[in-house]
Amino acid sequence: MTVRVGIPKGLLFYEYESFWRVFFESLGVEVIFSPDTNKDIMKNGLKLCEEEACLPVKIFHGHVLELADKVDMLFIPRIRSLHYREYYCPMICGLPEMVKNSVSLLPSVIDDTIDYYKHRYYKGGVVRMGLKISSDQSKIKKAYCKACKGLQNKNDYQKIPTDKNEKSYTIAIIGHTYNLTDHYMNMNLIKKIKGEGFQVLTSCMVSCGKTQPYLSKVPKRIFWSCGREILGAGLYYMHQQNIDGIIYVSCFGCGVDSLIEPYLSQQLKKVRPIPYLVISLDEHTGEAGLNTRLEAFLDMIRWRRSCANHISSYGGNLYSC
Amino acid sequence: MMEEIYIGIDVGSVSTNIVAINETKEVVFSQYIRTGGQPLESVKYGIKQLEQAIGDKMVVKGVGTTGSGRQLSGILVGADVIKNEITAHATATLSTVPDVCTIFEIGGQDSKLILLKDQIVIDFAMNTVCAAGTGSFLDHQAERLGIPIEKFGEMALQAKKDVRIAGRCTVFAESDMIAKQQFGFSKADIIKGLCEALVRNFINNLGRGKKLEPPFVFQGGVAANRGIKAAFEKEIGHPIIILPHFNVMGAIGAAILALEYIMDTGKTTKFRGFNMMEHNFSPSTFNCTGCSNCCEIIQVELDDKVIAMWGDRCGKWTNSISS
Repeated sequence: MTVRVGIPKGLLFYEYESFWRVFFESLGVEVIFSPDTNKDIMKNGLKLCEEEACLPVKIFHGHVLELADKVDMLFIPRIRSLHYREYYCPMICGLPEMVKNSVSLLPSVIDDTIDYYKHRYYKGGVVRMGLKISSDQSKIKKAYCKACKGLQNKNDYQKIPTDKNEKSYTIAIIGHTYNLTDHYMNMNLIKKIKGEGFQVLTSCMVSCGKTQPYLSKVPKRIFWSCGREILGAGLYYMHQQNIDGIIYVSCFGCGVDSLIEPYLSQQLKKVRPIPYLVISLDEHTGEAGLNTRLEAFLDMIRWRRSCANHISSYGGNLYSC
Repeated sequence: MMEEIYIGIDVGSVSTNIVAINETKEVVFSQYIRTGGQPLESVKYGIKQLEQAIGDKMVVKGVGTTGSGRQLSGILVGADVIKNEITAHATATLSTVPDVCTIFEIGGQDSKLILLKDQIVIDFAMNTVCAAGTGSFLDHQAERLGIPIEKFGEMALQAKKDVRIAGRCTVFAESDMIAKQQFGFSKADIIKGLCEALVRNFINNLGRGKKLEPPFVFQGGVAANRGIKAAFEKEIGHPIIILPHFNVMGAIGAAILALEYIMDTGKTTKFRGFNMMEHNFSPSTFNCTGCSNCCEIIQVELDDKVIAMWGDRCGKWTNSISS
């Protein structure tokens, strides 16, 4: 019988899913993902997890529980660093310990460390994980190479439109990839905005090459990978003339956001004061609060443009768009 | 000839406000009703009052709803425009104070700060996790002190001493207040302290990092409280405008938005008419069992026919209603 490896659908899953799927499948195991976040997963996560953790980490715990009795091994790597002079946030670095401490009756956990800053290569950590499944070193290395190829293909970033769209509006949504991608947690935020006829660009679409010129001007080097991505994307978008507004999707209790967001909003005021909204996700399940803020924000953007075009002094043109 | 009117309805957590304006945006009727946990009943009651007052002389050309109960009440009355409170309040204030730059709006359960420039909203903030900057906070403390909320403002103005009360959190404010009572401060001093705590909390929480510029307009139910007005003026060091219809501004905004929509599009109103109260209108909820999200679906029936559904994440029920 093939070994089943479970990968919880949370946190860095959204960025590196394809890599790990290809890697494990090449080793001949069956990969099982937890389902998309739903009410039960969130409820269980909140119940199990340490009170002080942020919402995405709590939800991650729910995903772990969902998989715990369905798989032979759980994949919860300790991702400390994936880039030179950069770290992930302490919650992600200590994820396997947190999970093992909170969730009882776990199957065996693949929790090896990847610390690029210290070791300067990824392969060692990945091979150690492979050894938990197979003893054939060359097979593991082949699987690693195959997975890397998939990752390179994924890294072809989408082309970001930069021309001003006269008919519709373009909004940049920035935040941790898991906040933007987990549609249960963010209450279908992106779908709602698109439903109003707005074009949506996200921080996940911006490549390092685009953010580097802006990040190099930040007085102190941001050493959190996720913080760098968000700040870089935010700075990039605020310099693009076709962006009508920026939404920062944060979550309650996020340490990285608590530093990056105020810095970004300060910069925004200096560079180009366009409409800016911070949405802080928490355990609330009522959507009314989110909807009111979102609707008001989108109205504000429409209103601006209609005024710039001297169509109406107020309100009047809010519907025809 | 019958005068043409536009109705605005603002269904909030504490009050339900109904106004009617004429074509020149003058308020011809306004009603402030305590919601008392029964939004539909209060809307029906308000509409009935409106009909009795002016129903035979006017013809309704458009209806707009706003407030947290905007969707449900919009379906009940047949609204042409269903708008969020921020847009509604800004629209209403702009129609009377065109050069307004800052709007403070304090309602029952939420408070808003709206910044405008050249007649457009450029930024806004709403209170986040807690209610320690809203009308409910004052309501609660008034009850504790045994003073009717209507007299709160006047008493605050009679205060002789300054008392600093921690306004960060309703629970802590309460324990702070008890301590101050034991120190022998008068009720009036403590009430003034509470008003200042609320304002400080509002400015810190919502105005953080924002530049507040005059003219300032203060509206919402809490604007009736002269103590709060005084505290705001002290905090920002500038006089504050309170408009005659301060407590129904959201409804006025909704009415103006309805008027502009009808004027712009030339459509006829979807208003169900004054006799809608006779119809059997019943909202209900059930849990969808389609997936593990178990969304709570709100279903609205009119004379046993389902006319609206919402609350589902996937759109299965919302989309099942045609038209």
